[in-house]
Amino acid sequence: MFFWLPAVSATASELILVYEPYTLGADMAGLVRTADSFFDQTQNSIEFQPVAEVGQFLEMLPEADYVVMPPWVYRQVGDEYDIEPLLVSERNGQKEYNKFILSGANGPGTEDDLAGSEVGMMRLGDVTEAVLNESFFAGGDDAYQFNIIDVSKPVDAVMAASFGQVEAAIVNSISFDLISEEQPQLVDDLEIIAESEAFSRPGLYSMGGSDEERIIDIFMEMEGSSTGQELLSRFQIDGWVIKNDF
Amino acid sequence: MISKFFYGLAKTAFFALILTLMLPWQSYANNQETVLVLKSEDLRAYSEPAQAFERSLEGRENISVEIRDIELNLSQAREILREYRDNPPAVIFALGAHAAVVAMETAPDELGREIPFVFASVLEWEEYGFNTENSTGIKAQVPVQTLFAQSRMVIPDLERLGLIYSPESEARVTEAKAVGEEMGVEIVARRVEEPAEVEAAVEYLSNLETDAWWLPADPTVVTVDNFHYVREQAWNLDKPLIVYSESFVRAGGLVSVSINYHTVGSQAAAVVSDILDGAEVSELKMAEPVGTEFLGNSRVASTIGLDLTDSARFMDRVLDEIEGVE
Repeated sequence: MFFWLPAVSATASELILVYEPYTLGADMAGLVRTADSFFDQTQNSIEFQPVAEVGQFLEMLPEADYVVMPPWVYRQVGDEYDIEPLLVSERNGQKEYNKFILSGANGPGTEDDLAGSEVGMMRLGDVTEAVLNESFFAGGDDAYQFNIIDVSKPVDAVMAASFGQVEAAIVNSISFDLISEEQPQLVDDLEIIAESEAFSRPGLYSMGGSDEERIIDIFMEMEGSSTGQELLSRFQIDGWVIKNDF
Repeated sequence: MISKFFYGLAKTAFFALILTLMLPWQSYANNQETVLVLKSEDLRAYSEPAQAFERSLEGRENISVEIRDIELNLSQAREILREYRDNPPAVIFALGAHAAVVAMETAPDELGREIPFVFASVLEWEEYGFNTENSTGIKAQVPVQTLFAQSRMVIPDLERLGLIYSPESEARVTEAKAVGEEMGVEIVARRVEEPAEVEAAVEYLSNLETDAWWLPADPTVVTVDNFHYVREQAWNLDKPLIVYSESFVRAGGLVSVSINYHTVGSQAAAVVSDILDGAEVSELKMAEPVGTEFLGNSRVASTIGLDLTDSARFMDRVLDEIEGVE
């Protein structure tokens, strides 16, 4: 799925590319409208471009001046494109999140019993198994022993585990918290059987943009206006903070 | 003439010797197993699962996935299968009813033996009499349980759901009533026998308390005229209308819940992996499709006084236009 939406204006000077598959949801047009409105109010000519698919994101990356993305993507492409972290997002005072393995009622008792199971999750591209092995299995090869069913959104993985269509689901705590808050009946019968180490939440990164201080200021002032707050709410965050240890 | 005969014999023996010497190499090459994907035709419903299937099996060693299109043509299907006569595929993944029937009936003729097959995107699969010893598949309709759960993401207080159906969707409605009982969704259903009865059925439903209307895939009920009538009535009553495909969301339905083609391909790859690893096909039950393509229409939402901003977080896409409506 790829959304190519119109630029803010023909004279747009900076491109902010956004890839955040877990929280942005489907209303890309609404997101762009809110972002355009916010950047217009700050009197900055900025093109805000969300993409929904990692392949398209990587294709457009070289054209961007700034990027909003999860740290796991930064770890894969940061060196290649000389990307600098600027800010990290925060929600309820938390700058980090975890990944969970959730077992359904007929699922495995522990993460060590997953071999041969079907596990619903949003794949992270070719590195999926490697990331899972690093996150949950101490660098072993367990993630190659189960079948990953690639879903298009976290709630699909949770529903599938809840309804017994797969034995387990892997989602991050951001999605899990959201689903627990708004659809609690879907997680009633699920059990967290493994929790990864903490990851930083999605951040703002520079691709060598010309005026990083100005962009940092704009992002940090987002919570000061109602349009900015609406934009933060679409990202499901409370604000942006400086963090050095990405 | 005799010398020509012996010359021919000698030539045959020579090539036989060469072939014998090549056997170890041939045997090495045979370690590579083929999974043949047969698409009924070039539609998104078949192409997208085929691509996802191929991508999901990329990491498996010694497997080559070959995707072929039979173009709804039996002769074409036979020609494709003949190409595999000397080295039959280990498994066939058939997309659509035509391809599945080819896998069941034509493949054994052309390949000299039955090949296990997995099928998907076959509506009413029970009617084809697939041999469950040799085949299994992914069902083609979203489970009602999933449909209700996703509908509640937009209509949290969904307790009474109105629907119109004909004998063609009787089984689906029976399932909906049973699942609805478990999930606290009462089905208020009106049965029609022919398309002309739908307007009266809509009038009947309009006078009952319901939280939303659902149009299941039912060719007797969902004609173009009937859809427009149902849509207008739903809008007039501020009633959320749940439909079953993107085209009906574009045309004025509030949300659609349909199978996710990409996930179906990924799911089929998991089943084929199990077969390649030695699982007995007869022990692999027909699977419910995992995941959905969940679409909403924000223009329709505004028309009936709903806001999709929060529920959009659980959707795949939100459309912002109604076809034919400015």
